[in-house]
Amino acid sequence: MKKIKLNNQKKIGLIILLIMIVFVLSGFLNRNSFDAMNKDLILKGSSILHPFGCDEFGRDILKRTQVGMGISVVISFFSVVIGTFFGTLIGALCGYFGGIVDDFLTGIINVLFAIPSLLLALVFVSLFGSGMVQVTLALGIAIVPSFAKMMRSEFKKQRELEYVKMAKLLNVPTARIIFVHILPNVLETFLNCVFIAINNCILAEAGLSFLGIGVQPPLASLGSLLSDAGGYIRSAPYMVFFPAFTLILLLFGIGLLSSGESFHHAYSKRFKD
Amino acid sequence: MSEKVCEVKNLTYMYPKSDKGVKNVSLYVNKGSIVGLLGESGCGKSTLAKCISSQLKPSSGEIICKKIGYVFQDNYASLNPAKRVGWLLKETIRYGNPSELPKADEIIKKILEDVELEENVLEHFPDELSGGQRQRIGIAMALLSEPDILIADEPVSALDVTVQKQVIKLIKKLNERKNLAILFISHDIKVVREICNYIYIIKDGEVVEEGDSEDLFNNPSTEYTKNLLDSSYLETK
Repeated sequence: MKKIKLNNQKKIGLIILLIMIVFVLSGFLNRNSFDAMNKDLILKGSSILHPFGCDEFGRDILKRTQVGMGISVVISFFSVVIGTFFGTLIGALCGYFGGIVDDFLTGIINVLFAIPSLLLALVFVSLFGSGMVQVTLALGIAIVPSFAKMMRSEFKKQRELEYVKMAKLLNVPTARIIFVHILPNVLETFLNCVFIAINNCILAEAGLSFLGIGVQPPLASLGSLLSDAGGYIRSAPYMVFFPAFTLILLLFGIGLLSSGESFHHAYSKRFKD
Repeated sequence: MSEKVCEVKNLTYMYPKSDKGVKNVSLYVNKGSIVGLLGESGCGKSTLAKCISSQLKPSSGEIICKKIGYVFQDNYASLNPAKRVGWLLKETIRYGNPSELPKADEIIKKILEDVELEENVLEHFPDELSGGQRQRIGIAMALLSEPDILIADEPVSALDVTVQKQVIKLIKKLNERKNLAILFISHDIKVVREICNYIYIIKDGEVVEEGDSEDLFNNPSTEYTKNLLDSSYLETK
């Protein structure tokens, strides 16, 4: 594999992401419990022991933000794993084979594509109940169509190139051509799609939890923290500020990783003839 | 009489919804000879080569060929840009000549000597090499499957004149050293004249003239060949 050299935007994005990871992991050092209530600390502002303040039940907001972000990221990560796996597989098959395979699978993808992803997730959650697993599956399914479409067009372009024809002439097995020969050449699009999908999943999960159909209490996610804080925006604005700020920072960091100079050009060193 | 390594009889292939293709073409290539397919761009030379190498399925005709190696015109697109040259050569042995896989390193070393490249190219990605080096890698890959006939589809047309000469010299050398049959496709009359022993002139998908290289160039029998040679003469002037 080529060594990936990151541009400045991606470097900043990576630094923000690392800070976020450290922030979440440092939750293990935070001795406060994320769901332990304390009537003496109800709606108490920032202090040394509780830098983000406490909520309406006297729970530590820092700990809840750390746990909430961890849950949001875990849900998004596994949703993207599901979405990329099936999306890439379907897109690769459509793009590489074309013909009837493409017509059939693209038909299904187009139907899924016509349904807004948040609505699809809502239907899924209302059918199978709310909870981490259901939300993960729902978001995973919701991102399959966009992934499949992107991968389809990439594979369609690649299959016409002569290195693929060369592999066919050598009788390289089709699965190997798709996953070993072509896939590394669509890595640029793939990685950008992954980061965009993670961003969308974090937002969608926050949206679902904000609406109360995502992660259920006593667990917290960034969306549910914002939802809970809604009623205290005037009396205890820190309850909104800290979870919202971390959510924005997280999305900004991932957004930077998926923008700017493409990964391909970042590591492609071309010598002139 | 020389042994035929490839024979094509009455081959026809037409592109769907088009009048382009090849019509009723017959040709043969003997062991150790360099046969040229000459004609203007779009006359069907590459289509014929693709039919012979099974990239296209002809609608009629017969192809009897021994093991084929193929050198593509676009030396950039024909090498996987995401893989190092060493990997590309090993992959070619893995599928083109699997019985030799245990001796792959040795074979690769030898083939690099044959195509006059240093061993350090193995660590490079194709886009880190020059056009000439990439075309040599393309030739090396075609040779690794130990073909009886090498189909070279415009192998030098994307290269500048100096590199063209080097690659032509290399192809000639490989032909002499390995007694390898070569089907050399080009629209460049000078290149074909320099390298080929026998030439087929193609026009609109049909063979309009054939003959030994010097005979054909000195005494062209069709008006089309005469015009082709005249255009080359004008270019030189």
